[in-house]
Amino acid sequence: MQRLRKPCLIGIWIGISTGFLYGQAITKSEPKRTEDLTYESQRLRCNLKMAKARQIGLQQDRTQAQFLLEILTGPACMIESGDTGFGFVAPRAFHIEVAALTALGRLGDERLLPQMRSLGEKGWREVPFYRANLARLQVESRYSAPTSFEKLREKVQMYYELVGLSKVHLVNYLRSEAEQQTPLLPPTLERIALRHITEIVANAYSGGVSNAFQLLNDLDYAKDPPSALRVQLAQVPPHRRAEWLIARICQRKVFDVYADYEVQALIDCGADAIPQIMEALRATGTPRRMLLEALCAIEFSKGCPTLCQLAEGDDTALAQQAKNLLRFPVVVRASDW
Amino acid sequence: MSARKLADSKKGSRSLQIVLVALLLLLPPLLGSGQGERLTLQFRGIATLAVSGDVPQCGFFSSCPLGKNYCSDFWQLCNGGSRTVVAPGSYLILGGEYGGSFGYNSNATLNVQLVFGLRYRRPNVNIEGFTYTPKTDLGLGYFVEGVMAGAATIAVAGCRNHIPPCCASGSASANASARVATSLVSASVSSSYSASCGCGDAENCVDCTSDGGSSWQFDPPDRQGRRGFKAHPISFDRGDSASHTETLEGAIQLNGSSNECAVAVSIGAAYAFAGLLLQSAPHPLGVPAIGENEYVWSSASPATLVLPARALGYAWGWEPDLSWIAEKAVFRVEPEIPSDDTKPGVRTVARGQELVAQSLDGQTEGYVEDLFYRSKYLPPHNSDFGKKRVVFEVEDKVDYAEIEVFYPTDMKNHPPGGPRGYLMPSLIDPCQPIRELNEPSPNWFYYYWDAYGRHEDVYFAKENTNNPRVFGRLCETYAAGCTIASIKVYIFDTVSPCSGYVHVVPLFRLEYRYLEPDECRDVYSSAFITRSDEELYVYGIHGYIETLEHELAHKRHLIDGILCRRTDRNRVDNDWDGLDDRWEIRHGLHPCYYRSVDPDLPDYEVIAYIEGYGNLLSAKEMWKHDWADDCGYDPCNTNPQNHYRYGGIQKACPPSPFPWRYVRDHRIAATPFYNDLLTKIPEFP
Repeated sequence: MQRLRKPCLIGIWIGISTGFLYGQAITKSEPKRTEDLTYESQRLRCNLKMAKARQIGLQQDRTQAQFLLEILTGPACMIESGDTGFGFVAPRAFHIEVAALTALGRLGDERLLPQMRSLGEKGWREVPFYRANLARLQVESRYSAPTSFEKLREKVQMYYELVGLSKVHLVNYLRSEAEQQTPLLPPTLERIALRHITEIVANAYSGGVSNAFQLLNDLDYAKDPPSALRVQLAQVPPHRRAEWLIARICQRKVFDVYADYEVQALIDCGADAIPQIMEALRATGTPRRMLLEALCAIEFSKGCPTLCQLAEGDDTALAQQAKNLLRFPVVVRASDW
Repeated sequence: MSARKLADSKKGSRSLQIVLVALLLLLPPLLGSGQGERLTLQFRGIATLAVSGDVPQCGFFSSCPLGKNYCSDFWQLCNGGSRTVVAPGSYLILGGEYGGSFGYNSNATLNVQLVFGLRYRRPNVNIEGFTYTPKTDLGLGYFVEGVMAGAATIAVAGCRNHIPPCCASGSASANASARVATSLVSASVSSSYSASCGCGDAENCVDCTSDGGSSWQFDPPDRQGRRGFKAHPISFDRGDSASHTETLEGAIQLNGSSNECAVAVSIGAAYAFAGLLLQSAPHPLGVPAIGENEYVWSSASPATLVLPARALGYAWGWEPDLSWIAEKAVFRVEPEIPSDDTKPGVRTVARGQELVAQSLDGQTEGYVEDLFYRSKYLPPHNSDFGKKRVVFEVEDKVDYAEIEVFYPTDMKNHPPGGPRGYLMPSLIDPCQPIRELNEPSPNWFYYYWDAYGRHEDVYFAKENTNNPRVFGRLCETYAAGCTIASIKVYIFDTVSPCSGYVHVVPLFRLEYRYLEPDECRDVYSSAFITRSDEELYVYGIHGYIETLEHELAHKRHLIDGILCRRTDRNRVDNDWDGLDDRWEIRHGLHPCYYRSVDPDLPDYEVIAYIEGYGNLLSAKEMWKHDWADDCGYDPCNTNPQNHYRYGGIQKACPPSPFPWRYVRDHRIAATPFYNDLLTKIPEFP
């Protein structure tokens, strides 16, 4: 019993921090000087903001739009010398802005257009994530959930126009330049646009447009693993996605930036994925660390109880990894996913 | 009215008593204000008056230099005797007037020992991790003025006394001498006079010529008095109190003789006034390390700097006139601070008990108080700021005050030149064309850059958004493959010590931990770089150094081919973290995880942090070169749990521990909790 004490205390602390940050402070604009906050609590706070921004976008919760705008207009996060890895490599404060922009794009609330455009006046105009999500916001506003292929085609076409790219350009980009870019740098406008288009198409497919993927013909989206994952995942029934993702992660021998998108997709499966993750963790030869990260993120708001148990379990290697994760918990793995 | 003039007569001496008592009540025993509690000055006088001989009339007078009791006690010595009185005071006045027809012979000696007692209340400079040795020597200027001796004799002889009968002859002889001695100047004088005559008709008391003359002598003859000054250091090394003793000696000898038809009168007087002159601004015992004696150049253009330069004369019971000292007094700064069109400290003037340095303003041709500097731009080098001394000299060095001179951190009035500044429109690709700023970089960047080796290809940057996001960025271009064409390092405005952003350095150790078996590396347990649960918080110039060293580490890794952020078929980089797999295996990283050390940090960041920390350690002493101002914030950090600190490290009171804060489990220390933190990238065979 005594052995359980420390990690579970950490878990309790995480739970309290999460509740506090999620429930109160996170809804307010961050003061410029955040006194008496340790680096780790700031890091956690920043990551929680990112996770909340993601949820707002995915759930299209338009009542929380102000939260997203505040991220983009005020000092949103602590700053660091180095880059962090959330789907791609960039400073953490940049990731949270990407998360906010991505969520604003998904919200599709045309009432936010003036505020988004004013951001452009303030220097965001050239930022690829801004450009792509400004276009996304408009097309989502115009065509929220197309139910026919024709409407979907119009939506995608509108997106091409608003983002300032053509399908031909994107096809050529994927043929010639896509492989030049490593995930060590944030994605180009073309990659972001491709991911948006595949998401729009995948959502329409899930919404009943069975031939939606025809719009991706000629686009070699496989050269962009997050886009490919989006398309493949849409074709897996929701109740089987966790299993499918775990299998995919377990097949991996190398964990590059793109593995994070798979982990993020697994996190998005929520608590239903926990039994399957636990089953996979019991098997030998699996990349437990990535599964533990997903487990940590899923249960984060509850203080990571399962992770606490694993940290005190008999599997020494697993316990060590779990303890390490409790020290530096992860709540989000991809800011633009 | 000066005390000296009052001392010339008995009547005056009584007036002086009143004045002196009033002064005793008014003069404060503390020096200065603000830091005045630091130094307390007390005067103590031990006066001994000895009177001997035949005293025909009680004529000793004393103007109560040592207080009322002293006076009344000495007043009772007309019949001879000796008495010692202890009372405050810093001068000596002794006088006597004898006269009579029957001869007299008397000596009076007044010896005053002045003890200047100084008490030093040591400031608390207890800073974990660093040792400060505050200045503990204090330079005294001991001065005496108005040292003068006077002697007068009068002799009158005749045939008739005021009471019959007549005399056959009259004779009188008077001798008076007076001397006063101090350690600096002395005066002595003697006077004698005699008269005699015989009576032609003794019965009728006629035909005897009376010589009613007198002899008056003074030393110095011009009656201005002598004066002197000497510097004397005292030390508080061994304790909190020190003293300095001076002696003022005065003696008068009066004698005379006469028959009943003659009169001999002898008068003697001696006086000396003493005091201490102490530098008062900047405070000579001020401790810049805890925020005292700090001065900041203005943010205007031209920039100005004003350093107070003053001294105060302390005397007990009299009011010194320091104009004669002012002529010899000089205030200057070491090392010198250049000034374009002012002459700082070109003269010193006396104002009451104060000496004030004045500077000549070349623009107005007028004098302004204190040491005044004006320059089109701030001084060119970081070393032009910082620790200096305001030296106070009167013929020779008397004392000095340690001061620190700072520059306005976020202003832009440094000299032209230095690295350019750029506006970053986007972080999405820091190598995009960036617009050069139309304004100079801020002072902190210019002087940190100057202090830390003037690195090439380092630039200042601002983001074109409201959201400050990074401290530093590196922009590389490639010639071919992974061959680097150029690299530029950008230090962002967030590094400003006034930005308020805490600068945290993640730390790493080498640990044995279990890893999953995989195709990249069939290892179950091995030594790997791992993130420590300890972090380092740095401030001021260390924030700049850490940021720069982190980016320079990336630069070295790029140039040496360790890191490549492009695809290169010649490299095996399974996890796409830019590091060659074989290199990762040899250096404690996992080749199959792009963030094998920390859930957030890619491996190439980890190795940059490690090297950056190692180089930051080598530059630990650079805090001594941080002369950035506090930007108007209160930099004093009384709460040790508060991780924030504004301004340059040396401004105002330092945090404790200083200037590093290793933090682990909410505990803070000046030294690492772990003794095996990585300072360079580990290498395994």
